[in-house]
Amino acid sequence: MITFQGVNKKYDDGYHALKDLHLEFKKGEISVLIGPSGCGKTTTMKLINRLIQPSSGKIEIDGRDILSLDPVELRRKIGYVIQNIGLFPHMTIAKNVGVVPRLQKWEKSRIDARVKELLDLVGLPAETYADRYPAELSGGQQQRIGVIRALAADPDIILMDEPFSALDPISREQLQDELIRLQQELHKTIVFVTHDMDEAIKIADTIILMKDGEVVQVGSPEQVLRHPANDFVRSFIGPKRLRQGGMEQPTVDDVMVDQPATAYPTRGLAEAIKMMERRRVDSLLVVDREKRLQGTVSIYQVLDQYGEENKTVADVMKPVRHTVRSGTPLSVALNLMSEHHLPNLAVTGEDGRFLGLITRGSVVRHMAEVYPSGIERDASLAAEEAAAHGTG
Amino acid sequence: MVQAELSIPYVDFLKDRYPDILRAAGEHLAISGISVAIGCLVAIPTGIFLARRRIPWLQSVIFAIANIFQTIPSLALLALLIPLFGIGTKPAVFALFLYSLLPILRNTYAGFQSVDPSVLESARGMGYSAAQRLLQIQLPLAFPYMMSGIRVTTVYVISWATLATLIGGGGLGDLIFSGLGVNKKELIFTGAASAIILALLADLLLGRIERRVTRRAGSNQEPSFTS
Amino acid sequence: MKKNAWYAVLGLVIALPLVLSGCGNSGNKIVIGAQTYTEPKILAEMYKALIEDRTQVKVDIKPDLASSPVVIDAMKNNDVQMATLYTGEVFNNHFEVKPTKDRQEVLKEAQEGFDKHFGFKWFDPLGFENTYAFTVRKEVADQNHLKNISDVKDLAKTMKLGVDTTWLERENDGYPAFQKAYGIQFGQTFPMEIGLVYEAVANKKVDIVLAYSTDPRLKQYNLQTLKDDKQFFPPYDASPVIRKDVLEKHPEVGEAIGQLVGKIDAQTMTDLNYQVDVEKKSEKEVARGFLKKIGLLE
Repeated sequence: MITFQGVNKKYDDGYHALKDLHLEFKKGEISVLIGPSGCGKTTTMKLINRLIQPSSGKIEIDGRDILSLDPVELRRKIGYVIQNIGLFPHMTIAKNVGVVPRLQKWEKSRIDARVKELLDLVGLPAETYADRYPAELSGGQQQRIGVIRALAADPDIILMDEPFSALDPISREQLQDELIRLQQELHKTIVFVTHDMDEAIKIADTIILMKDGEVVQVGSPEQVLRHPANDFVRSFIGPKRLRQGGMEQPTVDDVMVDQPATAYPTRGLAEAIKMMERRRVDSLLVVDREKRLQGTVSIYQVLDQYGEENKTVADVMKPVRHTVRSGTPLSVALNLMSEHHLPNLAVTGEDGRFLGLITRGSVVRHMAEVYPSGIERDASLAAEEAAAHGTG
Repeated sequence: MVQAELSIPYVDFLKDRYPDILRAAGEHLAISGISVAIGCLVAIPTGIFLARRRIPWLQSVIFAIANIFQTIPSLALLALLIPLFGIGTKPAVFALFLYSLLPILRNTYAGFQSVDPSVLESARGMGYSAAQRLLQIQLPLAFPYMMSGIRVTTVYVISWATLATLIGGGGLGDLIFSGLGVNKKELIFTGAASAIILALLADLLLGRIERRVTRRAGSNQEPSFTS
Repeated sequence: MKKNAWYAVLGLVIALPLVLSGCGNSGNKIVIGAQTYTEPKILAEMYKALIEDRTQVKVDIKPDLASSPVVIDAMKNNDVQMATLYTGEVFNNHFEVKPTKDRQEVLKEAQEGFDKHFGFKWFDPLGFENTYAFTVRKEVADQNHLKNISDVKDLAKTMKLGVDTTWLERENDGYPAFQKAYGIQFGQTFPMEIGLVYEAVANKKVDIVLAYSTDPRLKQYNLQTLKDDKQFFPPYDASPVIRKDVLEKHPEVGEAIGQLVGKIDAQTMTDLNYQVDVEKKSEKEVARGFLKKIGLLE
C-alpha cells in the first residue's frame, strides 16, 4: 500500500541519511521500523507524511505519488502519534480528539459522536474525560488520547514514532496490548518506529530492520528470530531472544550453575565440612576425576558419621537418583524437581559427565534476567512450586 | 496635616476644576492608549517573527534597540524628538510608543518560545497549515505572556505620559507641573492621583480581558511578569 | 591601655564621618538654588565666584528647580540658602499682598513680606527686569500691524498660544486674569517647558508665545514682542535673596553679594544669556568673564 522506490535522503551538510531505499508497507498490517539510533527509521516514517522531503526516489500510497499531493491535505488523511504525545494543552480532551475532523470540516454532531465513540473505545468514558484538560491526565492516559486522536478522522494509515517509549513500563505494556486489540478491530496500515526489540516482536506483523540508512532485513518476527540475515541482526536481536524465538523455551544449560560445590570421593569428612562452609552450601556433589557424578553428600550425612575419622565422603554419600541431560527444556527439569521434591538437579552430558547443577537460586536468577513479563508464565509458576516444595 | 488642610476646600476645588481635570485625564488616556496600541502593532508581529525565525544576530539587534529606547531618560527622548515632530501630542505619542516596545516584544517572544515543540510537531504532522498553527495553537498559548507584557507597558506608559506636558502634549502633567509652578498642592495631588487611578483602572480592565480570553482558550499556564 | 586606645580610634572612625556629613550646612558651605532657565544659573555662578573669592565660605549650586515657588520652598526647608527671585513673585500665593503694579511698591512688598514671613533678605535689584512678553514672528507682526497686546484681540481666536507650564494657573498675572484684563481669548493653549517656546513660535508650531523678556532667542529667531499697553503684568525686578540666618553667621557673604546690586541692566543680562543659550558657552565661564570685565574679579 505504501511503497518506497529508490528513495534517498541527503542533508545539506552532506549526511546521507537514507540510501536507495526500497520498501513496501503492506495494507492492514503493523510494520515496525527498528534499528540503532541514526539508522534512518524515523526519517523513513516522516517521508510518508512529507514532514521530510526525499532527495530522490518515489514514494507512493495506493499507487499515487505523494509528491503530487498537497502535503497539508495528505497529513490530514494520515494519523500521526509522537513520543512526547503533543496534546494541545489549551484544549479539552474532546477538542483534542476532534482536531482533524474539525480541520476536515465535519459537522459538529458527527464530530461529537465520533469523539464519544473513540473515548469509550479506550476506556476513558466521555462523561468523565471529555471536558478535562491534558494536564489532568496521566502519561498513559494522555498517550491513549494521542492514539485515538490519530484515529479520529478514520485514516487508513497511521504513523507512530516511538509512541510508548516515554511511558512507564506498565503503561507501555498496556498500550501495546491495546494497540494489538484495536488493530484486530480496525485493520489499519500502521508504520511503527521503535528501538525496543521486545516491543517490535510483540506487536509487529512485519519487522523492518535498518542500519545506516539501509534495510538489513524484512520479515515477520518469527522469520527474523529464526533466520537472522547476518551478524548485525543477530547481535541486535540478542542471544537470549534468539533462543526464545527459535525454540519455545530455555534449556537446563541456560539455567544451571556450572561451578557448583563439588568434592572428590576420597575427601575426608572434616574436609567436606570445611568445603561446605567455604561455599556456604549444605550439600556437596561428589564428582570423580573424570568428572563423573558419583553421588551427593549432605551435611546431615557427614555429621552423622563424623566421629569416624577414617571415613571418606564416598562412604557416606547417597547416590544421585535423578539427572537430566544437557539440552533438556527447563520446564521438564522443573517438573521433575517438583515431582520428586528435589532441591536441586544435576545436568549431565551425553557421556555422563557432570556439567552443572540447577538450584532454586539459579532458576530465580534466570527468571529475573530473561523474562520481562509473563511470557513464560508456566516456567515461573513451576519454579515457584519447585521452590516451595524444595524447602526443608 | 495635608489631609486636614485640604479636605473641605479640596472638595470645592474639585467642583470648580473638574472640567479641566477631566479634559487632562482624557488627553492623558488618549496619548497613553494610542502609544500602547501602536506599540502592540509593531512589537507583537516582530516578537512573533523573531520567535519563529530564530536568527540570532537579528534578535540581538532588535532587542538591543528596544532596550536603548527604554533606557533613554524620558525627558531626553522627548527633547530629541522635537526637531522631527515639533511640539504637542505627536512627539509625546512617538516617545511613549518607543518606550512601550520592549516589554511587549519581550513577552511576545517569550510566549511563543514557551510553546512546547512537541505540540507544534504533532500539529504539523496532523495537517495544520502554518497559518492555522499560528492562530489556533501558538497565539492562544502565548496569549497570557503577551497580555501581561501589555499590562506592564500600559502602566508604565500612563505614568511616563505625565511628562508630555513639558513639550506641549497635554495630559495630567498639566495639573502636576502647573501646580508645582504656582505652589498649589491640590493641583499636584490631583494630577498625580488621577494618573495613579488611570493606571490602576487600565490594569484592572486588561486583567479582566486577559482572564476572559484565557478562560475561553482554556490555558492552564501561569503568566510571568517581566519588568 | 592598648585596648582603650583601640576603642577610641574605632569610635573616632565611626563618629567622624557622621559628624562631617550630618550637618550639610553648618560648616562653611552654602547652597544656591536656580530655576530651570539660563539666567538664574548665570547669576548663581556670579554669586559663587564672588563669595568664594572674597570669603572663606564654599558654595554649591543646585540648578533646575522646577519653578520659583519650588526654589522658595527649598529655601524655607534650608535645602538651599540663596537664590535669584523676581519681585512679581509676591503675587504667587505666598502671603497677603497689596494689589499694586507700581515697581517700587512691589519691591517694598517683596522685601518686607519675605523678611517677615520667611526670614529672607531680599536685596535691592540687580538692575533689570525679566518679565512676561507676548511674542510673535516678525513677519506676523508686520503683516497684521501688531505693536501692542491689544492689537491681537481679533486674531486671537485663530491663534495657538505657547506658554510655560505655570502661566495658565497663575492667579494674579496668569491667563484667567489676563482674559479679564484684555478681553482676549486664544484658540488653543499649549503649556510646555519654557525653553521650547522660542523655537515653537519660530517654526510656526504655535502662533504666539509668552516669552521671558531677557531671553536672547527673541533676537536670535527674529521675534517681535508686544507692548503691555494695559499694564497687566506686574514688575519683575531681579534680586539675590538669602536666608537671614546665613547672613548673620557670614556677614561677609552679604558684602560680597552687595557688590552686584544695580550692576546689570536688561541688555547686559540678555547678552549674557545669549552667550550661554546661543554661543553655547558654560554659565560659569560667562559669569566669571562678566565679573572680570566689570572689575569685581581678578
